[in-house]
Amino acid sequence: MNYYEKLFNTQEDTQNKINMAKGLEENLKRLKEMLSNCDDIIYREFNVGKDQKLKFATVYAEGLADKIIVNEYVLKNLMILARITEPEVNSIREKVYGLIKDGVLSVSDLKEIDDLNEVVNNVLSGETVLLFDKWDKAIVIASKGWPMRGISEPETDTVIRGSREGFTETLRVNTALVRRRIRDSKFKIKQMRIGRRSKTDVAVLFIDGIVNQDILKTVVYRLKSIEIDGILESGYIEQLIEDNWRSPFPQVQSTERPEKVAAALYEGKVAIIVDNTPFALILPTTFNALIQATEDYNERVLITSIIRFLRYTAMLISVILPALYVAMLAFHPGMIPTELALYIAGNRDGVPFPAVIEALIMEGALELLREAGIRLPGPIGATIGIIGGLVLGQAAVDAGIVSSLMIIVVAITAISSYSNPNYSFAISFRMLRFTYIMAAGFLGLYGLMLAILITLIHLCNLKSFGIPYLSPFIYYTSLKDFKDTFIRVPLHKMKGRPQFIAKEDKDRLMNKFSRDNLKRGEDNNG
Amino acid sequence: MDRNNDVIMSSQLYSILVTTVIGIGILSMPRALAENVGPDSLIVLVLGSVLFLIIALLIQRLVTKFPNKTIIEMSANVLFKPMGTIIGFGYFLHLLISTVLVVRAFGEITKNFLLLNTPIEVIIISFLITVVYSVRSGIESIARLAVIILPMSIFPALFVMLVAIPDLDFTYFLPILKTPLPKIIKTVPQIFFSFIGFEIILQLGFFVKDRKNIKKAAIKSILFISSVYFVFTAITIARFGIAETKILTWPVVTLFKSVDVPGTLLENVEAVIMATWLLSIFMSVAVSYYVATFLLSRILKSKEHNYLALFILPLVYILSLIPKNIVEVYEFLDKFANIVSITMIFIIPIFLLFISFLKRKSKKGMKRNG
Repeated sequence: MNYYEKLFNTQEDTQNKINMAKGLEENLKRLKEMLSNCDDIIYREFNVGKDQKLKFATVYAEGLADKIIVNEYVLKNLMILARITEPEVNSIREKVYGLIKDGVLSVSDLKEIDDLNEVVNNVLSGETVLLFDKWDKAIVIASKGWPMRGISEPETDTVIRGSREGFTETLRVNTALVRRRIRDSKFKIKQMRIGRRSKTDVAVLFIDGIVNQDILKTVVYRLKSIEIDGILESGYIEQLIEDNWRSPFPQVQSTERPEKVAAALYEGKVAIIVDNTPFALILPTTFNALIQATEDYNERVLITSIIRFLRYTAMLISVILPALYVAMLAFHPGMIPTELALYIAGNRDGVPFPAVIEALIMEGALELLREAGIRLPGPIGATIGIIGGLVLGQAAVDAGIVSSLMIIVVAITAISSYSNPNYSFAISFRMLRFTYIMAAGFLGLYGLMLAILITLIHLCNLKSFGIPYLSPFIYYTSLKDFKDTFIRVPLHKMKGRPQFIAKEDKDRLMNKFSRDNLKRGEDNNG
Repeated sequence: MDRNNDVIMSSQLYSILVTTVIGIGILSMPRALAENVGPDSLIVLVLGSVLFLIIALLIQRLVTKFPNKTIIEMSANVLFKPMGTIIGFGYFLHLLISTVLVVRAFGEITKNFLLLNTPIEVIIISFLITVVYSVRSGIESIARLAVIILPMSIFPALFVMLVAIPDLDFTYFLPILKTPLPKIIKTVPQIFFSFIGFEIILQLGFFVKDRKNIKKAAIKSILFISSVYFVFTAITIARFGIAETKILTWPVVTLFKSVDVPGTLLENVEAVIMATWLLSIFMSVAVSYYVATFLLSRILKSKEHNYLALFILPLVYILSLIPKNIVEVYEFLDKFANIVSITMIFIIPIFLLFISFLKRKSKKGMKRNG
């Protein structure tokens, strides 16, 4: 058993083994007992051979197994083709089962099992099980084929330039999508089942030789220790294995894009794909990684650097702008240029609330609109946005409940917060914004600074699977890791993997590559 | 990376030292210099910094000499056992009092420049709660925070200084070296006061992973700190002149106030600069608070410093409210700096180094004889 097999090996698989009986009747009886009242399970008993002496049975779950495979390549072969060829009975008497397995079933994926529990598991996950009389083993025929959604463009991580493929709800399709981007024998996909009842397939993806072994060990250990009845979405796993559940910040990145997963694997991270959800998990995650968008690497360097910088600024604005505005109005009006201060005073004339309350009302209304817009079906959602944003906002200003400047501040904040590429990251900032506004309302700029300090202390304390959340900002050790932070340097300058994650095989781009070589090639041609 | 929650890198030590030392001291430093030595302020500052660099090297020598030991074990090792506890307690008191004084001075500054109508008790208690939160999260977290806060606190202030350059008049620094020598010698300890906080290296050396770089971190931090001091003092005095600087309580803050950043959205940037400067003062307090609780936990032989941090909080709070006004705070600070800090930063480490040197020599001699 090699290292990874040992790492992923779970004890319980072998624990509750139920050995199969030799007789077909007995096995079927026990199976029917175990799967009693499951009306979606189909049992088909049939006879094989010229003189119909061999008794066989197939068991599969309707709707999960592909009926064409069962009918065309299993039943037809066994019932009809095997009879037509009329094999020499004497010569095959002893090895009939081997022959059936190796010579009759025209299906590519087969495996033999001898555990009745495994039979049930396989049937329930969509495989077809072939049972024989007088033999205590069963053959599992891969026949998973339920109706599934095709590969379509992801809704959350949209890009202008980049692949249009997104994950679907089927694990196999998803791993294949990643495999297509990493055709390396070192790219490993290890699968485990999590959930006592749901028995959800969970695949752990990593590249051997690049992955940080400490992280991988932690991840597998935490996954193994999950004891739950059902996993419905990768969010369950995320919440069960993350480091700090109290933190407002996501410590695991979720994405619908296979190339994002592939890029993370190339950096030495680990990905988890869960069956039944298009959201894959990437871990560990750092603050900086959540600001990076997929497109940053597809577009040319200058524009992406500017956009990256813009995004950091937008993030800052989305958290502190309303709080700053409140602090300046309530505590430090001297900071505002005189003309603007006069304008604001005129504008706020007749507004009955202090700035804090005004800000909280408007931000609250905005969050409400956003939530209503998501819950309503598409076209109506957009209408809500227009009615809420334009009509309500204008009416509120006309009625004198809020000042128009506050509307502008809130709108800028909202737009800035939309520019965050990661949804769960953006909502954590939305949450913080309210506490910041309140802190600024109580203690002005000083309160705002204290709130920022507390957030910073928390961020410094936070780790994602052993990696400090604020890496690489918390080290001065090398500037190399800063190449992909506030700006993105050209790809030919990004020679190494992030140093705080990758421990082995640190070079991405070999030293042979240089821009001068490109030019030299040009000269040779000319 | 650093999974163990008690390991910092030497580069992080550098940030901790810089953010700890730079804080409240610089805000009033130009006044003290202008009062005492007038036009020779900058020369005295450089002199003091160079002298302190030598002291820092000696302290650093002591740290590298005793790996994985705090000042308690160092002095227990060099002298005798109870001495370790006594000296450790001395350092604890020293750090506690300097924390108290900085907190009070900070409260006064914040009240004066940011929150005119808020009671100082509210400012101090909210500040202390934040400090305790940071202290409880451990040295690694503090180290990371220092790395992030260093540019956030220093660069906005330096930027505002740059804007002030057109209004400067460097003739205020003339004539050179007219001050009598005794006065210069008397002023040098004042500069040492601005380096209070550096002695935490005695305790923090304990956590550093790459010990061979401690020396580099110490030298680099002193150089950085003194150049920041130099720039601040030079620009403040060149802007206001000696006579005016003398009468300002916090000349540097007044400088921030007087600067008009052209073309910005904001009119008075001093509130913003004070808010960012708050980060630096926060680090000074958080680190000395941490080291104080760490020393106390070592003296009491308890493993958890977390609860001690909470335990000290009321003490710091009450002590910080004792001085009646800022003048009293500064009077006390001056006395404190002159007597206690000099002992703690200067005399004890060098004494320990000297004794350990003698001991080693006598051991060697004994070996040779035997």
